[in-house]
Amino acid sequence: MPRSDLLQADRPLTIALSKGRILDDTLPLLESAGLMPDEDLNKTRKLMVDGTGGVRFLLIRAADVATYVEHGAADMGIVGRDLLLEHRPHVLQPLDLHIGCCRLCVAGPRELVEKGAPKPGSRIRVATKYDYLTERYYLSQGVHADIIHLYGSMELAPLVGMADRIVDLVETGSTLKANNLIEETTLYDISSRLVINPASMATRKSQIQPILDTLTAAVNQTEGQV
Amino acid sequence: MNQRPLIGLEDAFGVRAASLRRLQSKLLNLFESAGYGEVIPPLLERPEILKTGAGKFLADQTMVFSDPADAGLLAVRSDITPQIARIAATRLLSSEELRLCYSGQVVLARPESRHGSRQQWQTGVECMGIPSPAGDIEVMRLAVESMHVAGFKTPVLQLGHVGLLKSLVSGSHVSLDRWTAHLARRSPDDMASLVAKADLSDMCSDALFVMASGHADAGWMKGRVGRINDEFDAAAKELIHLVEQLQDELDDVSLQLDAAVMPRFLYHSGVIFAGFAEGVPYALLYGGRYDAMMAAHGRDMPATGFSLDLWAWLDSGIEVES
Repeated sequence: MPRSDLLQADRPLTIALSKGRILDDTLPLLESAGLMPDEDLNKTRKLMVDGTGGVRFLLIRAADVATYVEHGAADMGIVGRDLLLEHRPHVLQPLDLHIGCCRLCVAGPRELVEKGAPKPGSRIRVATKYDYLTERYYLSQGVHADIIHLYGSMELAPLVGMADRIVDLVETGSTLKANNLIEETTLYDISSRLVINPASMATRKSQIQPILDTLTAAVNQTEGQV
Repeated sequence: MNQRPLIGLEDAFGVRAASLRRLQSKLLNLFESAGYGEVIPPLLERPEILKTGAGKFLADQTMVFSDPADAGLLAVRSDITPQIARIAATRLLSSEELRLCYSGQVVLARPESRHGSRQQWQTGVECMGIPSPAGDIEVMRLAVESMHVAGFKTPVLQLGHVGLLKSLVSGSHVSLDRWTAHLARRSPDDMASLVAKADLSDMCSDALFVMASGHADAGWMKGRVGRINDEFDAAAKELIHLVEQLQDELDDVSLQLDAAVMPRFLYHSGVIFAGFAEGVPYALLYGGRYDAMMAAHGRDMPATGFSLDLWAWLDSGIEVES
């Protein structure tokens, strides 16, 4: 299939972002590298916005950012580590931005979790949108997990008897607590990462490396202040 | 009759088929004019031939079935280089130097990232019997010429050396597959986690962290020579020397030396390289030295080469003139 004008060599450096809280934390970092959108990204209804420094921004769903970068429709983007672990795109992950911090956890109803983790050889039902990571975790534990794929509100699944455990992101734990669920174990610490298309890094290194260096310095400075 | 398409496999006809043949012809003519003779191995091969010294990636990507005409197993080839190695090690024994080229279909067990395709029209050269750096320079020049002949603008060649990573992680209980996967992501944070689990010296751990950070260039390598181990020194000197020679000989390509460049296949044992071009969001070719695989096939001789996928080149949008 021939490739469209979007992927032409002379297009501006393209950065894929998603709206929301992560964007609010990301914009000051991008600004430190001289990358500012011409419009308020949280308010605009445009999906593609030009910016200073010869860049343009794509505004897409968080789950799609890595796909755009992997296919070269964007040169770089910002993605949660949970999505990178689950979908394993072929992208470089050179910088942990230390924003959007949370944990990918196994949780369940208090009475079940307090009985202990499922024994090897046992069978349980697990609600999650992280099918791959969940399957891999329970395989490593020798437990047969029936994965029930959900797109949101995982906490409801154990309450209505549809699942024995959930695997989901936990930030403060307040939603778990409100639904009488408790954490069983943490699978991964999660935060947002800068991702770069490997071919973009090779062919546009002179453009991308200074941005990466500036962002790295800005993140290190922010971390030093914490 | 079940007429559903097969996952990751497609037919080619009309303009697409004609374009593929034209591109194939251009490349084979280029290889032939450089002294490379064509080899046409069969589509099927014994699995152990394909897997000899090849690492987990190829083993996972090879479809195997039982041979109705024999008691053994057969594999659909997922890479042609091991077949060329077999031929060189068993059939072409009278020549000390071999320059071979090929162009044929390979099938992967699972789709790779490019549009979910499982089929590649692997086309490449193998240069055997000529040690580093002469053999490497010869195939890298052909790799760059291939990109120019196909019409790619401003090609980039990234160069690394498998020996650098191997020298740093030898003795570690973590598999080479896992180290290469980590370095391929260039994530300093993930590398720091993996290094913490491996029993490595501070010097090796620090070197791996710098490599994952994308700062392991020629200057860094020179600064580490004499401070890590003999294997690291040998690999670093070989790579730096090669790049210095290439800079004199190739003026139509941008060269990027990076110790973190990782091989596509783990049979590579020395200098490795990948080719890119502006506007193409994936690597156009991979290559490198695989002396160790030749030894594993029973003929201890230097060998290097590169390969590309004709489908991937056509999908990049180049116009193949008749």
